[in-house]
Amino acid sequence: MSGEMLYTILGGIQWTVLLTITSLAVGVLLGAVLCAMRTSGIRLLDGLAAALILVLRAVPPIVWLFLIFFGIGTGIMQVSPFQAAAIGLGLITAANMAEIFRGALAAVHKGQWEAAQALSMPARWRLLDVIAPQLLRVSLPSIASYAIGLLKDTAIASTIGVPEIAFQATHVSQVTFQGLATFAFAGCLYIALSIPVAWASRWADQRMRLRVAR
Amino acid sequence: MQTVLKSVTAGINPAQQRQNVLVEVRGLGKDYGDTTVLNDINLSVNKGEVIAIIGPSGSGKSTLLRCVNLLDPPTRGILRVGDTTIDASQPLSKRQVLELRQPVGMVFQSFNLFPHLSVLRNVSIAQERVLKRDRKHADEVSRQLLDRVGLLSKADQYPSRCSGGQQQRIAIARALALEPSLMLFDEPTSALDPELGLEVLNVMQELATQGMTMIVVTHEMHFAESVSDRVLIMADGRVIEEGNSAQVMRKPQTERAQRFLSAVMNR
Repeated sequence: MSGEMLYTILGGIQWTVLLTITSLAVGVLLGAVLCAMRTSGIRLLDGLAAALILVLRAVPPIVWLFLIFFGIGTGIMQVSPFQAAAIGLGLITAANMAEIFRGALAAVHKGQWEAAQALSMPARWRLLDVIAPQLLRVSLPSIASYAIGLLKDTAIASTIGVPEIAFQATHVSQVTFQGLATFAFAGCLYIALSIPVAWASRWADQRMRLRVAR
Repeated sequence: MQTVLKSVTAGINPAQQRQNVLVEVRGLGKDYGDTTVLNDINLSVNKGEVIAIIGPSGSGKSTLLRCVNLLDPPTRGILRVGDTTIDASQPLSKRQVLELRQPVGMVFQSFNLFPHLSVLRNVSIAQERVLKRDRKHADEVSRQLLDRVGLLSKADQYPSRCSGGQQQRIAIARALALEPSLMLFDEPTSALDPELGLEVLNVMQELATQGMTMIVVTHEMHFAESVSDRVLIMADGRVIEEGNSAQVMRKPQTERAQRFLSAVMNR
């Protein structure tokens, strides 16, 4: 395999990373909204969120991407492969984040809400100053392990033509007929990308644990 | 003392008398579904008065306290704190709730400090969000308050590094930071061993001496008798006895109150 081939595969890294970050960002934001709906106590919103979460998680990611790219993309409005992948993976991530947040919410002591209420802090600040930081602290390990899973799942975006690592590797293997070396190299890239995420999460977790250790 | 107070207030015109009464509770009740946990509670608290609420577990003491700052909104009755009056049978707006709650500070049995914030920030945060103080000003006030409860040296620590007694004193400083005119204490020493509890009781006693109006739900009979001006004994969601501390504690009138007091005093 020539240097040029390796370079081509390396060129996929930026798309893999960009797609992971975008989907995660979309997922965390929409996930927070879904979680808020799910725990609102308003039956209609709760039911709607529960249904959305179920549907988003029950359909395989590749089907979502095809549905968005070939379905909506050709019939209704123009979407680029990257946009379709970011929307699809972002929505699935949102459903999973909503459930992660919901679990973490239950772990935040009820007295924390009450203390903030008794201090007559407005609802917005109760959430931002008191609940959200503790929620994030509890859900960080789950978010990090989901992020690593997501990083690998971005490979399916190659099927709709996002030029990320797996897409480039497929291309190179078709040109060089060196499937083993090419995909082994691609695999190593995924490992190399996952390790810093795991490290960063462990570091952040330990730091926060030191602070609030009981 | 009680009778003296009555004869003094008798000569004052109603408006002025109203001014001296900081908290007024009339016919207050609270239901959870079909269960009535508070029934027909009447109470008025004068400015600077310290009220102790005692009684067996499940008698509704804590619920009554939580009704006063609407943490548990009452089901019926009239509640007035300072200039804000609410009718519990009517739906409450958020503004009403905040208005009634702001002059009321609360201290919980389980402290409920914010674990992710330093001790200083715990005391500062609500000042910034509620009183709109800037950070520098808020931190300055917080340092003074921490000094007052003897914990200035802990300002930059996290709550988890403090003992239970220290955490509760920080919680008192946090509540005082909003300059409340009324302080509610919900069994503030129940989660503490006697020695740490004493630290907290000393701070509370000092607050009382400085003229803070306080309602204290407690199992500390000594505090009820010696620090508070008036004692309420509750049982089964009602006030069964009320009056001057020493009188109520030593010579309770009702049989139920006698039973409760002899049980707790003979321990």
